Amino acid sequence: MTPSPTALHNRLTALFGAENAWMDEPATAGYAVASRRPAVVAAPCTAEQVTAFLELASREKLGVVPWGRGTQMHLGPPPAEYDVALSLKHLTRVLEYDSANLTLTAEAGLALREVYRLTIPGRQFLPLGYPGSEASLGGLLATNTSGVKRLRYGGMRDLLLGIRVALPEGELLRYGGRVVKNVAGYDMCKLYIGSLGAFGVVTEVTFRLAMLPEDERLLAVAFPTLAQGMAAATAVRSAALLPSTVALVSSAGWADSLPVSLQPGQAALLVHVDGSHESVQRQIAEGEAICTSHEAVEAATLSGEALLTMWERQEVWRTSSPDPALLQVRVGVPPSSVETALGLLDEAPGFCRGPVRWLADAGIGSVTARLPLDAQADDLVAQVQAWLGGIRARLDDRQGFAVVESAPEILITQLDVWGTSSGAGLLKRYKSRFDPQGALNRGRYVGGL
Amino acid sequence: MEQSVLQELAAIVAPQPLLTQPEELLVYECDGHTLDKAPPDVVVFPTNTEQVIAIVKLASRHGVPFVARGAGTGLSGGALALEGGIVIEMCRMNKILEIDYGNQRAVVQPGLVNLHLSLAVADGGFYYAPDPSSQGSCTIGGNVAENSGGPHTLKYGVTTNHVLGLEVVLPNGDLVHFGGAILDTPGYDLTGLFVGSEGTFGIVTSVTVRIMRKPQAVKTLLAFFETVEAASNAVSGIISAGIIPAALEMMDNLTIQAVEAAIQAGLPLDAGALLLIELDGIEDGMEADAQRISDICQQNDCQNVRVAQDDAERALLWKGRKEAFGAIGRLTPNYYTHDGVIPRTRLPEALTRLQLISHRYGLRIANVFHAGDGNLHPLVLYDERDSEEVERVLKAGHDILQACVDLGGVLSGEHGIGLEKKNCMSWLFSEADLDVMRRVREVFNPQELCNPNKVIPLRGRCRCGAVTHDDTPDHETHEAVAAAMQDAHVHA
Repeated sequence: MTPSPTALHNRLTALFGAENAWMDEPATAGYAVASRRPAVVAAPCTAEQVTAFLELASREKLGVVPWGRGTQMHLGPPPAEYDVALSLKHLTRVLEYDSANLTLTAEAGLALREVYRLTIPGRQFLPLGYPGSEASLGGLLATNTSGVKRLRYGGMRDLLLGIRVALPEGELLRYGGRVVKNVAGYDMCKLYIGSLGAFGVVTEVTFRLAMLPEDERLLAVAFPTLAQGMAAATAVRSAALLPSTVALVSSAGWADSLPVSLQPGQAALLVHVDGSHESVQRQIAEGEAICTSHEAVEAATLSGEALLTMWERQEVWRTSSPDPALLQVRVGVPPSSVETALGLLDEAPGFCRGPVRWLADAGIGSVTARLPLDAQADDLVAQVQAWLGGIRARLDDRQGFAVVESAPEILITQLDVWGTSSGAGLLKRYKSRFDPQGALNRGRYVGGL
Repeated sequence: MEQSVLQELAAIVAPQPLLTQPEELLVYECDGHTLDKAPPDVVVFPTNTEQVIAIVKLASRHGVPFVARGAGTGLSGGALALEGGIVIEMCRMNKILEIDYGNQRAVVQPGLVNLHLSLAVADGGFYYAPDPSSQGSCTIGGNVAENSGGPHTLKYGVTTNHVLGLEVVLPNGDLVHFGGAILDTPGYDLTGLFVGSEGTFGIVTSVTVRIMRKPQAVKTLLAFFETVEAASNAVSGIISAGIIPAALEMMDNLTIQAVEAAIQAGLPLDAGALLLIELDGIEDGMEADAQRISDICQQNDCQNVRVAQDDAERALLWKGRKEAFGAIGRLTPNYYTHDGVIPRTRLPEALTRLQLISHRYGLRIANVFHAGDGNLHPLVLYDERDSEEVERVLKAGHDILQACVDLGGVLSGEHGIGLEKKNCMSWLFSEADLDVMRRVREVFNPQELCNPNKVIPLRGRCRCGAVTHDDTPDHETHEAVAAAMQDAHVHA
């Protein structure tokens, strides 16, 4: 039987000290997931304390939600049980910054922007987000978040070298290493990427870093139609260029951010290139030539602060917690099917009260779309369910998927958020093997785990 | 092996023959790791996925161990039939099933030779990036099992960074699909877990890989140094200047001599070390980068820098690197290759320790390796007919790996653990770490028939550490696994 909040608070105070366990209203409200609040918030100071706590949680059958910096807690349905928010706010130490070997080992609660602060003087960076990112390293890992520069610099699965992870049964393990090439043993790190903390709490991470480019520019080009923008994107991808991003944005919602103007029905192409001055100049020139031949309406090039702002807006928009009047969906498809996916998403369904705003990574094949919900719509849940089912059925032919990233609670608790059952049985067996009491993030992961 | 099993096996692959005669099996008693040998009872050559399924089901039913094998170029004994049984030779399943230039991917069978994929997509302007030195013979399936690397992985990553999806026959004969055509499908990254599992999780029957657009321009440089220390310092200098070359390879004097004797590329025989440096990408700015690299080499007491003037010269220089292992064969009847990784900046210390080990055991050690990512390849020269020398080679190998771990590195960068380094895993991992790896393996391979006794010592069979586990089967896991496989099968 779950102990009372007061008893639990006492136990956690004994474990972590009174200054690191709270049960008062303002503290627990800050750790709400949708309308669910924890009974107690606890903030261990070491990986060993995390492990000791998980062992207790497992024994007492507590429902635990690991919490980095809380930037993406809206992912997945709210937790089925939420006794303790396990805050990693004290696990923010940099354990080793080895600039000569381009690696960084830090505790999982460290914010990405702190990594930038540390590595920028040495002209290095961790390409998993923009320089001001509040997200924690562990949170990025648990949500499998890669930066918009993935096309050139690789994503989470390419940059992660090693982890330390606390398992619910009280084991503290290390996998991978601190070197960039490593095939010693099974690649266990992969099990925790995108697992939403369902199988263990990652307490420490090692990443490979990249060198900051000498120069970077962002080419923004307006096209009369999505089809023309898409054709230009394909031509850019097929040319001998090395862009770090090839993205398309909708006319809706992006006007304020773009250096070019967009009319309804138009689309803008964003090509981000970096490298030496000469190579950047060459790529921008070729990119512009390609766009001109695809009947671009207007083009502009951003650099410096303006480029950083645009980069930040793209990342923030993709990952931030949107307002409860929106439905945010992420679709994955092969790059050649991005246009088809946009065609499916762009037709605003009946439950929308305005145009759909989207951002499509045409290099990776990932589309994020936000649909403004009409709160007055009849039977909203059924409508959205039917719409989502239809999208998924049509994406299936193209080996694609659709995930609901954010939605009002009434929807997110009733929709099939992850939408995939492939291998769900295998996941269940893992869950029962490594978290037999279901302590971690119960009900939030794929297959209701 | 029972005659009836052999008959069933023959029926599955007919009219392809089985190999069962001792002289036929000789080839299969080891792979590229020749210090350990164990012949299988039979070698079978499936030509399609259905046959692989049938063979695996047969083996599972009769409790016969089985090992998938590609070209047998592996260097850690991964394809060795340690407990006899069936070698499932995948080389007949070598077709390219699909090339999709628009999405920059290809679907291939596991027996396809690595280089053949690059050749097949060359006219389309593409190539397959992971390029082990054995790429003219090693197979994509073997690369998946070992998570193989190669010289160009410094910039482009190893096999796991280039595999999108897998079709796998699990050790009970079920066919499952991991990953697919796109990145980040929700749920576990089982593709990532499977790559590098060294044939212990199942047999791959189809692989979806990324193919990459050929770079617009390539520039290849050779820099000669008096000492390996000077060359190591140049390596650090290049990387810290913000240049990540496509490849950054080092050879020491012993290797230079062997390579020059083999290919006559005009390498200076008195150089203590050479760096083979390749830049690729956008043409604009490459000349400036090459000049910066040349300057950095000069600052580190470089004797001379040579730039390949044309494709023919570039090919010759790479031939020297890729065939360096073979060239070492001119110096010795046998050599033992290690594959430890260290942080790049510890190269000078590592090479000094290798020299000490060479002196301590009276063995010659040649070095040809991926300097850019700190992946050493010390080749210990010996003669297998001299059993006392073989003993010293093993001890030297032990010390080499220990040195890598001491310097903050790992046991293997691309050759795998296999049979060879299994008992050193406890240097890197605690018993609890290893036990979780075992539990993961049990989910895939509960009967331990699929490439048994590799990568991690079985419970209670660890020669190096304390025996803390018994061999009692874990019934709970086995039941869970049976159900899991059932589900995976349904959803596949």
